[in-house]
Amino acid sequence: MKNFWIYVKNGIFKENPVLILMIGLCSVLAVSVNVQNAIGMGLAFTFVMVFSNLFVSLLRKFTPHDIRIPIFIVVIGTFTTIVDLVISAYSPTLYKALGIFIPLIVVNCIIIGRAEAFAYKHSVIESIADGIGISIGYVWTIVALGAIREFLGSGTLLNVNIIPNFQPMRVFIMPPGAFWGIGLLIALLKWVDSKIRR
Amino acid sequence: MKQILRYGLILFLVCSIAAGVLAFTYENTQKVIEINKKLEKEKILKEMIPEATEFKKVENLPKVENKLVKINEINIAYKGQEKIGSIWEVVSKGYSSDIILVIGINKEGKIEHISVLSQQETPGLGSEITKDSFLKQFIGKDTPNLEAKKNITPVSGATISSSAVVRAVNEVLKHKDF
Amino acid sequence: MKSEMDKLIVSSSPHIFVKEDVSYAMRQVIYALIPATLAGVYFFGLYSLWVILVSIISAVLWEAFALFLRKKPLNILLDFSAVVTGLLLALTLPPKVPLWIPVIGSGVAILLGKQVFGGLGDNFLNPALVGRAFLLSSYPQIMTSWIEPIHKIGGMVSQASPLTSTATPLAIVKLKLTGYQLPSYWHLFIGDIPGCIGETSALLLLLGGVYLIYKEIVDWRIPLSYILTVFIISLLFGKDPIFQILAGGLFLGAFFMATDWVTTPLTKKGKVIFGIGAGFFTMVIRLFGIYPEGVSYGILVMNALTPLIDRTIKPRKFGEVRK
Repeated sequence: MKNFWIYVKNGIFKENPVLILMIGLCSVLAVSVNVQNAIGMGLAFTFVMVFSNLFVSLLRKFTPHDIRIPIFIVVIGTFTTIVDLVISAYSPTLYKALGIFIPLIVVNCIIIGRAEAFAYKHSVIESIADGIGISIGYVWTIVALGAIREFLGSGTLLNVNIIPNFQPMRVFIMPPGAFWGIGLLIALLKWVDSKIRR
Repeated sequence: MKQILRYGLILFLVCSIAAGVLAFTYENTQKVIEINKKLEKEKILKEMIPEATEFKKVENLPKVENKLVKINEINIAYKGQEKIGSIWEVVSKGYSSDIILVIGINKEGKIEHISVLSQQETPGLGSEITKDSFLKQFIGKDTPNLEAKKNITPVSGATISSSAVVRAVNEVLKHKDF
Repeated sequence: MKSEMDKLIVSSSPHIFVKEDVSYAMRQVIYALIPATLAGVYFFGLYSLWVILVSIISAVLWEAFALFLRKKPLNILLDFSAVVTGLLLALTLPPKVPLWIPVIGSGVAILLGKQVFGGLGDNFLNPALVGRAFLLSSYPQIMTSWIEPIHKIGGMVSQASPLTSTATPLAIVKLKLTGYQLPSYWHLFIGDIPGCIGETSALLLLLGGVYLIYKEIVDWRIPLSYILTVFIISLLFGKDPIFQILAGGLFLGAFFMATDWVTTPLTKKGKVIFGIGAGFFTMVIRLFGIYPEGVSYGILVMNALTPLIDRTIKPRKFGEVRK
């Protein structure tokens, strides 16, 4: 059980999928235009991540090495489609906001990367822990980026106006703003890291 | 040979389980999705022309010359036996997505109501076309001579998205008497 | 100076300049810009002088702030590059902008355009243009509201002065605006037209540019190939070539921005390619893009391509046999 928390903690900073491993950036950059979308994407991601890790780990004894990738894809694809259908049925507004990005979770490198690098080699409990940890890392990163971009680009947080008369810098909700924001976060994490190590 | 058969079998097994799970989810969610869509549409139609008692879908839609605009659906609103307007669902190619608009035309042939049903334009820029401050400019218009930056003020920084809306409105006004 | 410059061998990075040289060159650029700057203040009123001063001062302060953060000696400020960046940025702003615009613009120019890459010499994009591009995409409305020239030093002392807004000649042509009259070639040439503070007077910019070429601060190849390309492409597409050259910020860009030492190719052939490319992209944007003016993006695109040009066109080493 001690290991469980170590694996969870691992994904948050030390192996943060976005800022340290730097995989799955496309969805992060594209969806993080505001906090609301970021939270929605984060939740959808968490669901698929945890369940795909669980099932990949569960099936790892029956998965021949040669055909593991197709099986991973089928598992991930199944859960993504479930998320897609459920969200569109019970939360049409969120579905409209996330649009194309939910189906794109299928090809998100983080999920297939963790399936291949972790879940395929570890027990079910450990894989769930890893899935949770990676998801927390993903969610805080995308929400932080969403907050930076929404605040600077629209002058709001969660659609609430923060500073009256603030002139938003539109460029932050455009693609270049996403790259600047993620660069800022990476630099910040490295800086904190270097302070801690010292 | 044996290897391949084994692999095939395993893949088949995994896939059929996945297909089963998906079929189950689909069955259960599809009804809700359909109902949601229908409710939303009815709500929109009712909002457009509240006094209408019945809506009839038009079967043969008018042809549009402009390749960037497509008329999806036309509903004629009736109050009893009397025609009191029409509601148009049009798609126009925007900056990064297809913008679906619903436009209500009243008895006099003027635009009574316009709203954006769905769009995936740049948030904060193109997506501002859904705001009332932009859309209210179209209300009361009845001739297809609209032009962004001339008689319609576009959303700042989103000329393409704004022009897409203008284009769709022009097409609707051109064909309103089809 | 001239004989020394002749001995100077231009090579690929790292560029280590003797400090006095950079400072000297930057001061020459400032001198060369003074006529056009004064013309801008004359045409658009005293308020534009405030915009210029705020831009320069904030650029220097941002630079000092960045040097402090990076624990670098503050005397790097004496290379005058921050002053040049601030001045160039201000000259590309519309005359009526609120004063926080140059502060943000120079901040982006210095911090994101230059210092994050390691300061002068390591930036791959022209900092002033980064600042302008940032402002243009962030505040499209403010960055595209123009005023008619007013010819009075005392006119428009504050931003609130009631002035008729108008459109630039390029915008009139591009958007087929009605109700505006296109200025004559003479007005375009001396700069009596709506536009950014320092971009309108082709005559005075040409004067400054020729001065810099005479002092051998800039290479004549880039401005010449740039302007010629714009001329030829407008001819090919049936546009008025003289109008296309004189309207907009082509002279400012060609002489003062496309010639930045750090962000342009090192070889003579490379410089010609740079000029042609910048002219090409400028015209592509003017003819087919959504913006009426394409000088700043044209130069930025070529800035980004500069390492590629330098890698492709290497000077032949002494004794090397042509393949």
